[in-house]
Amino acid sequence: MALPSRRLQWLAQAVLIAGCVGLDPGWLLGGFTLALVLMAGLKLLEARDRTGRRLVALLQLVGCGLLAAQQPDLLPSLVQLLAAVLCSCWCLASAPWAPGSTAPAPVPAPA
Amino acid sequence: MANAAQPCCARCMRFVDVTRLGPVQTGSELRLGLRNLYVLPTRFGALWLAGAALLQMVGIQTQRNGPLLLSFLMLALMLLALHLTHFNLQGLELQSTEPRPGFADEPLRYPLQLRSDCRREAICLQLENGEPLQPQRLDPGITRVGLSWNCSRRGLQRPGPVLIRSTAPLGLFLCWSRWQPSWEQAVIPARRQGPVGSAGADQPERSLADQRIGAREGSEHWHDLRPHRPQDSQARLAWKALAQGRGRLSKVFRDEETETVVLAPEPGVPHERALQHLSAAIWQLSQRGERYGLRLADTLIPPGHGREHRDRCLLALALTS
Repeated sequence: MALPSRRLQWLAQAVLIAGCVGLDPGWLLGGFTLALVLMAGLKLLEARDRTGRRLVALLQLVGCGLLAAQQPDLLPSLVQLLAAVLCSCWCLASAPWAPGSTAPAPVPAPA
Repeated sequence: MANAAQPCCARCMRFVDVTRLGPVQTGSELRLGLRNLYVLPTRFGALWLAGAALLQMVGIQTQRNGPLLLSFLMLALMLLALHLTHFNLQGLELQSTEPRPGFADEPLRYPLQLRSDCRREAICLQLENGEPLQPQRLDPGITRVGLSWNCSRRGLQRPGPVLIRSTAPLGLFLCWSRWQPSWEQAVIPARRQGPVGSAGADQPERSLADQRIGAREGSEHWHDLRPHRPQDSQARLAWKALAQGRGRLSKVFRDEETETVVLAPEPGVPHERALQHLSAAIWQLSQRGERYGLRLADTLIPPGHGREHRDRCLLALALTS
């Protein structure tokens, strides 16, 4: 099973940024949400290993929840749902057991 | 001093290493169950929980269903992961088998046998102060693994506790147990080149080179002539020399492989260092297929060759007082 492409996370990030349009950065929650989404994007740029990218997925998931608190209309809700599904998929698919399992190590020959 | 040399962050990580919590199980077998498995959230799990709590708080404050729904989803997933991670290790049976001897200051392998009745994901095994195995999947049945560890002291040594842990399936919880296997592993002195004394089994000590020159008679290669003795075989009689009028002479043959040396600790060298030299010498002689014996203060192994003889000599080095 191959790891989900990094593009999936970028897609979730794009959906989140689209959802941020119309947020009021002056409001505490709005500013916090924007900062969180921005931080997730920067971390996604920097992350090379699976652990870092899982953290990005978690940040995106929390960002979705914060967006949902500020934009309860139908269309933003659908966008948030899409982003949440993408983030959750990435979180589950990048679980430690998925691609990292290896065959049992052979018992080495004695000296 | 060793602790002081460690970086501060490494010491902090060691301090917060939760897998050191909980008593160490003992015995030759261990079945993992409710009484010997411990579960705590991983760092990612703690962040996950914090995120869920934040969304819960925002949802309550803003009176919106979206964040509440998402937070409940995250909490439900966490609750599920708790049980799944525990079930991943529950019921697994660990058994230690007799380890083969190994050399000090070299990686030693400690064998373990794992019996599972179902498939288990991402099981990590590690000996204390040893290198961890890669997370591996266990299929139903018996799986044998060799754990790597290092020891600098010779003799019968027991490695530290085995740590078995898993974060599968979601990485939100860490489940672990610690177990001290009962088998001791014989650790042979490290192989170091150096002077080695030699002594006959019932002869005064003499040098290694002198003793290797003196070899026993055999039947492989012609070596010399000597006066014929009545007990000598007629087949060994040198008829040509007899025809030349040189008298009755017997042909002497010698086997190359019958060259024998009885190794002993070199006098004047510290005991442990002398044992290390002997260890290297035995290994080299064995590799060359030569015959050798070993004489220690409390042990005398007659000359021989072969793998079993080598192992016997090395084991004697490991266990000598």
